[in-house]
Amino acid sequence: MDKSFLFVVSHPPHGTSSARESTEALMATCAFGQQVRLLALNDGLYQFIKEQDTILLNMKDTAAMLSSLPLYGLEEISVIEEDLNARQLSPENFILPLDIIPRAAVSKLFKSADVVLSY
Amino acid sequence: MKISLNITAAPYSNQAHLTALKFAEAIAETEHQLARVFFSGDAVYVGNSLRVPPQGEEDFTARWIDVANAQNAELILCVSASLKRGMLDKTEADRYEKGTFNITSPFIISGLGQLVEAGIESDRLITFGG
Repeated sequence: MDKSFLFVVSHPPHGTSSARESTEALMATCAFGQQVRLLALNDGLYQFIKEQDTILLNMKDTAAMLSSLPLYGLEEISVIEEDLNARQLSPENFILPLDIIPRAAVSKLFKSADVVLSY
Repeated sequence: MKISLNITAAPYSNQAHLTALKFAEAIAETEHQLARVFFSGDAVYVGNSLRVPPQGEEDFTARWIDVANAQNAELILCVSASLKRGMLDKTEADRYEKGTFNITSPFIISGLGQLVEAGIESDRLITFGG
């Protein structure tokens, strides 16, 4: 049985292992051929920022992992218009095309998913 | 209703882990079934059979084992989270030629596929995050 999964990420890419863990779980879910969407909230937005350099951090580059996900079946990445504005970010700052939605539309996303995994 | 849990919060240092344990224990009092508990991130530390809790303090590992036995639930430790934290069962210890291991039954090491499968096959998958 196929289900729709919604991954909600709200942590920046570095500083904790949260982004690494969510990205790995996301890749596993895509590998199972499930319907997968991602919602980046608050500082989770920074996971998709261009030109991240993780060499000095000795960490794996999660942005590089995330950028390949549409090939694995990740259907849509949603971000909140208000979060972009608060951080003075715009679509050209990101590694992938993002679906920009108003904060008021978030509850609809949650309702439409069978399984919500938050990180 | 078939319920599975996804726990990323560390035992002891994070309240969410104890909340997850209490939630799991409470399921036994209902008509619902606990199918699988998936531990990842720092939550895997609870599967360490060498832990010695201070006298008079709760033994979370023993309580999870009771949950598994009483409710016939699976306790799964994420393999990538476990190995990088020095958590190994006998098979992994042999594979990586380590002298000892610290994960024993009913805790099982397995991959993230078990989390996805829990999401597909359970009516509810509930996250207790760190």
